Amino acid sequence: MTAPDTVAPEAMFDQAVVSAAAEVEDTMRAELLSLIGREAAVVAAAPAGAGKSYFVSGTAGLLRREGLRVALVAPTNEQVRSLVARVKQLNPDLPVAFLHAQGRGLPPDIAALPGVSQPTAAEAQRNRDPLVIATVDKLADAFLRYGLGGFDVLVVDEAFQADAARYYAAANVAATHLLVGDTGQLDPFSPIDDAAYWRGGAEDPLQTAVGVLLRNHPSTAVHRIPITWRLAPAAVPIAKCFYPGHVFSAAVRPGVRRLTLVRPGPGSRSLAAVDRALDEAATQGWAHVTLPGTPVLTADPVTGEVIRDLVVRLLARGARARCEDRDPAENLRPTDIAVGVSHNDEKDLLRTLLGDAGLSGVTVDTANRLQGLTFEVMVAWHPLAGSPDIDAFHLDPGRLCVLLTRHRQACIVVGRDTDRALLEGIPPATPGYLGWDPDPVLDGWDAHEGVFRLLEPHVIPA
Amino acid sequence: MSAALDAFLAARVYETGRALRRTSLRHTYLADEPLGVVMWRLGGERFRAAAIAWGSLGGPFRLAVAGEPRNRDLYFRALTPFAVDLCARVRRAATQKVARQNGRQQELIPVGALQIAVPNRATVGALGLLGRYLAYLSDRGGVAPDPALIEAGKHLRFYARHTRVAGQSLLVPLDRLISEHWATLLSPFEQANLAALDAQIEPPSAVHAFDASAAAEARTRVGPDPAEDIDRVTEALLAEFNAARGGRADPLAVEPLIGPLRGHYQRLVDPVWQLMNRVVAREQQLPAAPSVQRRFEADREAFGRHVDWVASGGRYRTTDTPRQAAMTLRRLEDAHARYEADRAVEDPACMIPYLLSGNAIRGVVASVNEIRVAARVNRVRRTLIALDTDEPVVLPAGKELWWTATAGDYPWDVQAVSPLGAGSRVTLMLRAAPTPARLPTVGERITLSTLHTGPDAYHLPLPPDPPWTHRPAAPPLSPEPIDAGDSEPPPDAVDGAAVADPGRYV
Repeated sequence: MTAPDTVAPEAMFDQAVVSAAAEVEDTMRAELLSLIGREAAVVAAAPAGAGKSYFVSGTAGLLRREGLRVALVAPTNEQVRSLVARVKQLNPDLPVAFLHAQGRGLPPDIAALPGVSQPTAAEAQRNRDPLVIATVDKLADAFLRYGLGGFDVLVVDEAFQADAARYYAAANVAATHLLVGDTGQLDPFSPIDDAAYWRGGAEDPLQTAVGVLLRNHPSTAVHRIPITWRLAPAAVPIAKCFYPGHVFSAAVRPGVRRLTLVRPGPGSRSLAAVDRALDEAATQGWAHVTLPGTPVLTADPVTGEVIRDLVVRLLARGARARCEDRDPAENLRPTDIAVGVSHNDEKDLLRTLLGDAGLSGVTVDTANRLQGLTFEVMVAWHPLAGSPDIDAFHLDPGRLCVLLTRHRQACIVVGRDTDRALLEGIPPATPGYLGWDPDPVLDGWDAHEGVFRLLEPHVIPA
Repeated sequence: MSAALDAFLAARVYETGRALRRTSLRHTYLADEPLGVVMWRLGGERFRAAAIAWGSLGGPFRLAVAGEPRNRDLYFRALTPFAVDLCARVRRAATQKVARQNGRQQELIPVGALQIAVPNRATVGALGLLGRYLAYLSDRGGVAPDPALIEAGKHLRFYARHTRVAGQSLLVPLDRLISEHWATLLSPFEQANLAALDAQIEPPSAVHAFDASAAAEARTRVGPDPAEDIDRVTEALLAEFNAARGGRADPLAVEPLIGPLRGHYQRLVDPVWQLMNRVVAREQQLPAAPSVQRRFEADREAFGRHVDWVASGGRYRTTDTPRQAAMTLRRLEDAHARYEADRAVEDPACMIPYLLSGNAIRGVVASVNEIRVAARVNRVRRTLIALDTDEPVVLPAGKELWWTATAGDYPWDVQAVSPLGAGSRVTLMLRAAPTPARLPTVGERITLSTLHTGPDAYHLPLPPDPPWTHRPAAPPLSPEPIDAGDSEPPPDAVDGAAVADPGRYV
């Protein structure tokens, strides 16, 4: 079926899905307002692209209009910077105080927005700034060092990424909390050898902020947001591999988003496989490019070159994207594209390759740094690509989830044709922990197997 | 670690027929005569030591055998000499103190610390469990256990927990010491046998490392958990012992009967003791890395705090509070990062994985030029170097690297990378004003990496009262004493054949 050239605005979104999500968000806000002044919390569990940042930023505006002091935090600097921009976008008149560590200030364009200030922690405490945005660590430091606190509400974005240790340090700034996060993303991580030492215990500092809250206060309401604004309908079945039991649907209707490419011209035979992958991704939303199987180093140069070729060719073929925000279609820019990897050396390799190709505007980063970000097209270096065996790090379902749920139009997964065989046979024995049900290795095994199965129709041998 | 380097070293070990050093320096402090401890448990009795051997390495060992370790009186009586000696050694080591400046404060830390060496990580776990068992003993029937047992329990618990600190050397499992310093053909599981590790390092003449370790593994059992054949012998001797004592536990009646069991464990400990002596003596020959003393100073500090705490009658919680866990995690992460950096920065062999993964570069300095660049207000002095590498370098502009000679100082930022012959020319700029100590010279071969050894970040202590989010809504029930039920008779054995399996297929 061919998608129509233009789509009426009211037909772009599935109104039933949108209404259901709005109802959940309204319920959460009402519940939060009813809890003000009490040591209590509301938890929002969301799939990828559920509009968490909009919800958080909108809620911050609502709380401010109620005359409440609000601290808004997230785990990373990138996340809080984009929160500042989003809060100002939704609430242009709202003053925002951004606390940051040395050398981690706002980009000039966001810092120049009216009402945005960047006080020191001591100044923020002295001024009693009514809306403070900071990383969890920075807010905790400001609280411990300068006593910055006395807020009415602490709003934690990406709360499934924040660990209990950091949450401990920041939790005292307000009695009432709103925790919003994506359950499918990477869990808190530590490089120490026995990070599982406390696992299962109430004191585990590496459980998520939501985990420790629910463990101690199991009656806390958890609301599941049933929508994804970012993902197109074709992306949802694969995304669901990472959210077992969570019912959600795409907000946009099929055909609203469209990625078009110029047909390959004469002399393109050497790039036939790349072109086939791009065509598959453009028409189906997915492509799984598989190189011949062989064990390789982590930062395999051949895989890196294939990814570079895909990105270069995507732009060379005049990719144009149409969606609910861009109608008529617009040319894809390098900043609309991201490459997601699992290791820093893969990131360095690709930044260099793309930089040499004049495409330094393409975002290249590890999965944990891409959390919360959105791109039109994503190229994902599969975590198991060319791996001789499997381990907990590469099987982590959160890593694959991040890589496969950043895109609005299409995602191209690059790996090797032996990767799936790693999951044949019996899953590895994994330790069990009293008081701790999740098993990232087995969950990852299941998620990877499900993804490989769903990508099967989209496999393009390189 | 690097899978590629491990594969290369394994191939070389296979080719040469003996283990290869994977470091050029020793990264663990080794005392002249650490206290050696060897432990054997009964199969399935994780909290009880059936036999403990201890003594200064280089000398003979003492052996404590309970006979029947499941009998509390026999067990405690056998353990008491070990506990008394351990407590005395700990106190002695902590007696003499030295002043150390910490910021504006002067603090006293022990001049030394008692170092304990055990054959493997499994023994660390066993000592930790023993310590946990002993440290919380309560009175039973109005009879208090010997205070030395409780104090020794606290010490063992402290030592076992301290092994979580990367690079520590208070309690040294020798299998880890060897695995960190030698490349062998053994899998992580096989490395638990110290005899197998040792045999790969010094195989008998004309015997390949693989065959030597297979033979050593079959010949020498290390403990603490007995293999089935050992347990079978133990079970027979234990049955004889119990039958002969007829339920008596008084020393006069029991001591004459314990000889066969003592002989059994003596035979098990003898080869392990020799092995530990050989391993420690060999590793002592390797020069220590410069940072070993600094890490041991941190060990001494922790040791001194522990001894002072125990001497003041302090007790440890059985589990951490959320605050303790959070602060411990920060401390362990700092120690981990610092140890990884120290090893690679000080030891070229440990830098190889970073060179392979692209997190380090090595080359010859082709030029050193001072320039001026615009800072916030003024133009400031900076230095550019051109580094010619033998291998092609893949690093994006802006990547920050530390020169190994100044890894605790400011980084260098990658400015540009261009091909040069088979390698690359990397231009780097120092992110600080140049001083002679900060600059390499033209022609010098240097290494830069992502690793740095600056002072650890200062973390503010967390609030002592946990926030409501980290407190249970309802307080948990108090646990029963850890030795509750010890005096009760064990339940009757279950005959598996007589029990219906609810999950079986019909």
